[in-house]
Amino acid sequence: MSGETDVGHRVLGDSVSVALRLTAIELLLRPLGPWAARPLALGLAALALLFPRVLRSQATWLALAALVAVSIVVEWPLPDNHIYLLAYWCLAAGLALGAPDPGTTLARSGRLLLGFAFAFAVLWKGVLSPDYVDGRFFRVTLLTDDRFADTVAVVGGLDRETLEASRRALVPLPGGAEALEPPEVVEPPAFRRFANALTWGGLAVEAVLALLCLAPSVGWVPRARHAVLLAFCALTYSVAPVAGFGWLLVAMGVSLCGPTDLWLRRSYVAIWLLVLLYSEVNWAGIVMDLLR
Amino acid sequence: MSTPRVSLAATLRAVGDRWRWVLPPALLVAVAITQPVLVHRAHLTPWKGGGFGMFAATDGAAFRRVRMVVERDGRAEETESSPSLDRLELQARLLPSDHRLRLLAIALAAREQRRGRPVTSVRLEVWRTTFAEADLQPVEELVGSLVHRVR
Repeated sequence: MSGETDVGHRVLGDSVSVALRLTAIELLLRPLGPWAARPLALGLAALALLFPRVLRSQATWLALAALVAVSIVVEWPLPDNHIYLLAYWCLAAGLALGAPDPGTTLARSGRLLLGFAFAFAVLWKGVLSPDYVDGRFFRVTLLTDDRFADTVAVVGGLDRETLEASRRALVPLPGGAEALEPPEVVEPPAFRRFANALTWGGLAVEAVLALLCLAPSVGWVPRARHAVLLAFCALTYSVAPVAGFGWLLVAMGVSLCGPTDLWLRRSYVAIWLLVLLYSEVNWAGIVMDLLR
Repeated sequence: MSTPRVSLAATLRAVGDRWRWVLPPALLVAVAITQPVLVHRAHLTPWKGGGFGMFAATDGAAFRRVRMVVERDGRAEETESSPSLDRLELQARLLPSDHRLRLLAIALAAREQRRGRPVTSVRLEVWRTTFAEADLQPVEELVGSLVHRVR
């Protein structure tokens, strides 16, 4: 083993430890739960990062799973979907650490959690939602969610003034009334192309990921799974303002890495940092400033 | 031909540690199957409830609102939420069940009484906005309502 690889192994450890560390950092960066549960969750996550024995303790992760579950119950229906996924993931970690082969057990759980999460996302987008496949969801979201405003300006060609006018047109009259001459929503061709690309691109990539994660790990499937998952996280969270979800997917992806997949683990850690940058740096705003 | 004997110990050995990696995904599937039922029957927003319907439908918190009307002295007066009600208001907006609406109505009546204003009843309505496919023209529809009489 080369010196560089040796250092890499010491820093990145095994897949289980890396996945658990990334999860612990997420718990610190995005504290959750009611006031009684929050200090416990923060304390456990901090101790897990400081002490390897706490990190690899079954009790740590079962306790964290319980705390996340309590926060879901107490705050229901407010928690986002990735908080549910975080609860399942902490439970998976706790159960895996009590198994004879924690790495294999956690990898199996992680693969199925990823597969089913994407499968249900596809079910919602493709079948259950009344306004996703026809493009309305992204057309409305891109126009109204201020977190997308800079991206819409850069890619969709909508300046701030037009965007504000369109937003006013999307505010309904109260009580189900309809205006005789309603104001119009402005959607330039570039904007419609962008909305369509997000609609179908998102659906296609999530469907591919669901299939790759639920398919048996034979032949080229594991390599394709890692490649698509890494690309999904790198692209999606540059636009989607839910870093916590991205970090969780990365932690699960790391758990699927084999003992010798050092470069793959490094890639996941790099994408984790990229998602952190996306969430903390307004890259689209910077691009807009450069273009002005 | 002899029938092979299956002992409890052998069964447990066969199951082994499989439950450890099956249980978390099984929980995910159970919750995610239940969530669309709540969306359909109780108007839970698709974004919440653990069914992975976020970024799939416009029917989220941003396109729902709670109309709060307080009746006193024979007059009806529309009122706004306040920090003490925000959490209950959001919960009722995301899931306009009778239970959630009643909790909000009780808290709203209590707030009014704390402010020295009499209340005879509270009417709550949860509206959601849908958008036309062609030109995105918005229309509101009522998804939940409740009248709470104050004794």
